[in-house]
Amino acid sequence: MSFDRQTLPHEVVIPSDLHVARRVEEDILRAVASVGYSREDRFAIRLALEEAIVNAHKHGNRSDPTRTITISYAIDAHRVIVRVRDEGGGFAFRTVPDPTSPDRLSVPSGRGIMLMRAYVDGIEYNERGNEVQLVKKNTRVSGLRTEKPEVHP
Amino acid sequence: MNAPSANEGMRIDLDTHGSTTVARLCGSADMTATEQMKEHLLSLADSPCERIVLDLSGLEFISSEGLGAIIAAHLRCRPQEGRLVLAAPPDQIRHMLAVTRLDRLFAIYDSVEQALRDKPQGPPA
Repeated sequence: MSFDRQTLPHEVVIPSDLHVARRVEEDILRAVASVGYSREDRFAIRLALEEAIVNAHKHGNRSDPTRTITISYAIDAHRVIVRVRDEGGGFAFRTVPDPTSPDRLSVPSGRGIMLMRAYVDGIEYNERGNEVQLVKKNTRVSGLRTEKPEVHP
Repeated sequence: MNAPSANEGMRIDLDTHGSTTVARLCGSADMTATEQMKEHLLSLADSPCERIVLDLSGLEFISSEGLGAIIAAHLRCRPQEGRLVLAAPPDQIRHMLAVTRLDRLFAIYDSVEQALRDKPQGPPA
């Protein structure tokens, strides 16, 4: 599975440092707020972006500040597209265990990918597994449901 | 509550009610705050209080790592099941707890007062 490699208008390359990454996250959230996304949409975008960045830093770059994280994005009134790429060797995202299974409920980690899937409309990885693309539609414009994402039965 | 913000930091306020400690989590449990939050919660779990109520009413945002910090404190409280409970999560946080099914791991009360009134018990069946 690999996403369409259309060029996104904004690209930021930062050291693998969560304090620096948070400033980029703030910039993106300000841009999202400025084009009229709901509070629920903004929460979802923040959560998915946060999970993608932390995964890139911890698992991709092994918290090595000499490595970089590349964040590219496109934001308009209809949808937000964000890509987060690290310098790691990638990972087998299809084999991540289900954190909601009863035997894993009390495991403190491993919920990031599941939360990204639950809160955005599209999530794809590149072939190598070191870049994730997140797509979130504006529910005010798209006429999609405005209620919260589906909960497991 | 204001719109989600990534720059407001995180604070934990402690209050004692008899043998119960209420810890009020305020702000954003985000990528730069969760390590310290985890240290505080583990320290609280190691304290001699009989019961811990985590008041989530002031929590604007929490990531999976923040949820992991709460789970780590819960594990530290074992084998005393039900020693750590959650109270007053805002709608978006409550929904995250449902999506992740952590509402099956923790007792979740609508208010701190309700949590304080209730007797210690195990997690939901």
